[in-house]
Amino acid sequence: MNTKNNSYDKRFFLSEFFGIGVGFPVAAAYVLILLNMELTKVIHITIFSTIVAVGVELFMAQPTNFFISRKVRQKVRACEAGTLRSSADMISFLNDLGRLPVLHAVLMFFRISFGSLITVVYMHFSWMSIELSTCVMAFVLALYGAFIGGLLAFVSVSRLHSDIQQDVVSSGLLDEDVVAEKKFFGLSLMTKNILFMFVPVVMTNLSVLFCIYTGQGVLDSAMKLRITGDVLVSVITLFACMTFSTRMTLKPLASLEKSLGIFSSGHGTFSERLPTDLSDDFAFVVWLMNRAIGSFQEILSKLKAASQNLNNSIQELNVSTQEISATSNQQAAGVKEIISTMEDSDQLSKRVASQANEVAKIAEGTKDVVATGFVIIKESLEKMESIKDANELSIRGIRELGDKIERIWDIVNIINGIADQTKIIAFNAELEAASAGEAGKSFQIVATEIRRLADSTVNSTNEIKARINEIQKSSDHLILSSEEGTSKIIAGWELSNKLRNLFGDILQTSEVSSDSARQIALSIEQQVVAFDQILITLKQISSGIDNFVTSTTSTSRLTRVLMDMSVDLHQVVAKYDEKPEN
Amino acid sequence: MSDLRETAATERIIKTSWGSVSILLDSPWCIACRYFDGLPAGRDSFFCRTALDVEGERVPVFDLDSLCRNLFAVKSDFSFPAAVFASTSGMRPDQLKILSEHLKMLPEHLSTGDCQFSAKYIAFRLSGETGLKVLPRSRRKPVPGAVGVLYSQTGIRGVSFEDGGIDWYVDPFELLMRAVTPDGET
Amino acid sequence: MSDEPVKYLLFTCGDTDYAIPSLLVREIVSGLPVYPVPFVPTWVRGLLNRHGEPFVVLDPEVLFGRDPLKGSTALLLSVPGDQVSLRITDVCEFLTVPEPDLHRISAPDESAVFFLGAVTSSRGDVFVLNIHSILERLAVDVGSS
Repeated sequence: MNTKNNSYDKRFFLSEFFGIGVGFPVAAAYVLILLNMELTKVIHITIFSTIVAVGVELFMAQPTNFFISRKVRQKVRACEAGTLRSSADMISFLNDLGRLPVLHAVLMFFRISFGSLITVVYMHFSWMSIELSTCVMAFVLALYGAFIGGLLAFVSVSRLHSDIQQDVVSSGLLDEDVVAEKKFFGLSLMTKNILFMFVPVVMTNLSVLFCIYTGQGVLDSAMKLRITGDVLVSVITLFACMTFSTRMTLKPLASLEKSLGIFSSGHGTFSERLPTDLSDDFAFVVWLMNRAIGSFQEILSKLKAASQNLNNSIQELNVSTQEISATSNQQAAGVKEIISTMEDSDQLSKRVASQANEVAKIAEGTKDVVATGFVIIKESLEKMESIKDANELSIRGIRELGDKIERIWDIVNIINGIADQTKIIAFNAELEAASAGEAGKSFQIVATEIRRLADSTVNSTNEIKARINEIQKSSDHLILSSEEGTSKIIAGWELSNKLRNLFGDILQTSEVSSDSARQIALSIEQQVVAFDQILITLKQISSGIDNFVTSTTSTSRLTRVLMDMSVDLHQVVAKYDEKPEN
Repeated sequence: MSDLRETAATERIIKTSWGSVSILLDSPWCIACRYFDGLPAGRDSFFCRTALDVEGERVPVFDLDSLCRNLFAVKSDFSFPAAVFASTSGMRPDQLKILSEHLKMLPEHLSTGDCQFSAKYIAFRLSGETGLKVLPRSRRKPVPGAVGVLYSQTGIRGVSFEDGGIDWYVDPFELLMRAVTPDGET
Repeated sequence: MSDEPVKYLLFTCGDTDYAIPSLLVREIVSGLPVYPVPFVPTWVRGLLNRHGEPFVVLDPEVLFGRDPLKGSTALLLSVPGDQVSLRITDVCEFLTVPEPDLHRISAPDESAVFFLGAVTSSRGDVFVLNIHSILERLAVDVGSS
């Protein structure tokens, strides 16, 4: 509601002055023009009537206006406050709004009439002592002014209420059936035509007749009769013309009303067009209405087809949506299963990753231990190597000793050979001495000594041999022991070597294992990360699917709603093919 | 014991060796040493392997090492194509007869066509280690005792310790006779 | 038989001690190579060269049916008209014994002919070799080969 209460009171107050402000002067002018009076009287009457008008306005109009507009003003306030929410309230409000201009106009008529009465009474009983007939005629003439004032008051208040009434109609709270039944809340067009056209013409004509018959003009009886006849003819023709004109207006209005009634009723057929001859504005409006009907029909048929297609599409959509919904439900269930499985796998992978890390750590530790062991083995091998070398050196020394002993043997053998030769020489000498007989006796001594020397040499040689034998035996024993020791050392060295090779292999293997374990741990960690990402993605997919399911469900619901709407639309559109209820 | 020592202080000796066995040949009976072409294949036990032509005479060449094999462990070498030939005029008549008989029995391929072996000359194949030496006659030592007696019948005339080892003085004619006589032929 | 002491040279052949009258021994040699000779019995080991003279080397052990002696010691014998030596193991000593102390020996086989008898030494009874018998045997064996 865009009506302001204060502005409504102001405007209502102003409408009073509009009515009285025009009605009284019209009445006064109508009277004074038609009556033949002196200027002083005219002025005097004018002043008096003005005073009376002001007095009437102040003492009669305001209280009555306040009283008659009280209800409407309350409802205007209520409407602005938004307390009028029901259709009945709005209907009642509209009734009040329709009635108030009439009431106001009637009261205006009576106030101006009263004021006119007071004025004519004054005219008769005042110093002017105007004739009673003239006063009566003035009063009758003044009634026209009162009528005009009433009309103006009606128009101004109607105009004031028109905005309010538009607001009420546009509020959408009105019961359409009540509106369709009542049709309007003001005066009908016929009444308005009568009031705005017929009555003023009749009143003016009657006023003239009255003046004529009351002697205000010099006319004979025949003339009076002829004028009366003309007036009657004009009244009758006026009435006929007005009626005809009204019918001419109302007929297309009735068609319009019928068409618009079909629109508003929601069912009916638009197969026929409204007849129009485009002869006047109303005919043109009817023509426009036909065009609108045609466009509406076209739209309706398209709407029908569209609604049918829509219905079909929506049905298909519904089916698809249901299928999609079912499928997405299955997918959602499937994805959830996958997620559950993936979560288990993820947990497992994490455990495996953790264990792989531990294995990698252990492998690393093992590798370090093996490397340490390898280093130790290497050191021990080096030491064994050095022991072996030292042993070989000592054996070599012992062998060299053995060789030297052998060489000593050679020397001993040489000495032995020399001893043998010496012995043989000694024997030869003795033989020579023996064969020389006596001459060889002194040589015999020499030979004997030589033999003794040879024997001693042989004995010494034998002793040396014995010692050397002992030494050799000891050396041999030592060599044997050393060789045994050497063989053990070599065995130990070979074992250490094998151990080193084995450790080398183990180290390599442990390095490979450590690398492999690290690679495996890394791969598993990557797998875990990938799993996590997959899981996240799956959860996103699941969430998406859930959303999809939700939206599918919503879509399905909306589809059903659409279906219902489509059905409703179809029904609505189909209604226009039905025959109207008569 | 036959005494082969002569009044001359030195003697010219042909020394031919097969490994550690050295054979000393009295050279006075030697006419010359000659080379001959090729060696025919033959049995190891066959003494005459080839022949050479001397003054138009077909001369049989006997393997000295084969002849000596029964005496010494001679490592035979049949590749050396040289022989020393001598006149058979110093041989005894019985020896000549045996020789002639043997020559007749030699294979035909050793004689060319009508040229038969003559018994005028005889040759002994030498080893690749052959040299001519002039040694004091005193270096020739007879094998003492009964062994020496035995050897004198086999063609071993003595020994020499000239070169540190032992060299055998051998009469090749005796060796040949022992080899070609019916009870001594191998 | 005179009472003149006879000097014997005692020597060993293998494990057996033998004796020989020292006058029969010309020289004791050792280390001389022995060159094998053909057509001789096995107990004739060959020839050795002593001062450019060949000496036949006899092995009494082989003669007596035992294994050949190792070593290179030999007794060069002084035998007129012959140059012969005896392979021995080693010389031991001289023993001067009166001739009557040479007591005869007897053997079940023909080997007794190779001994003149036996003398008693600090080493026990020692057989005295009969060189002449040995040389006779050589002549027989060589003549029959």
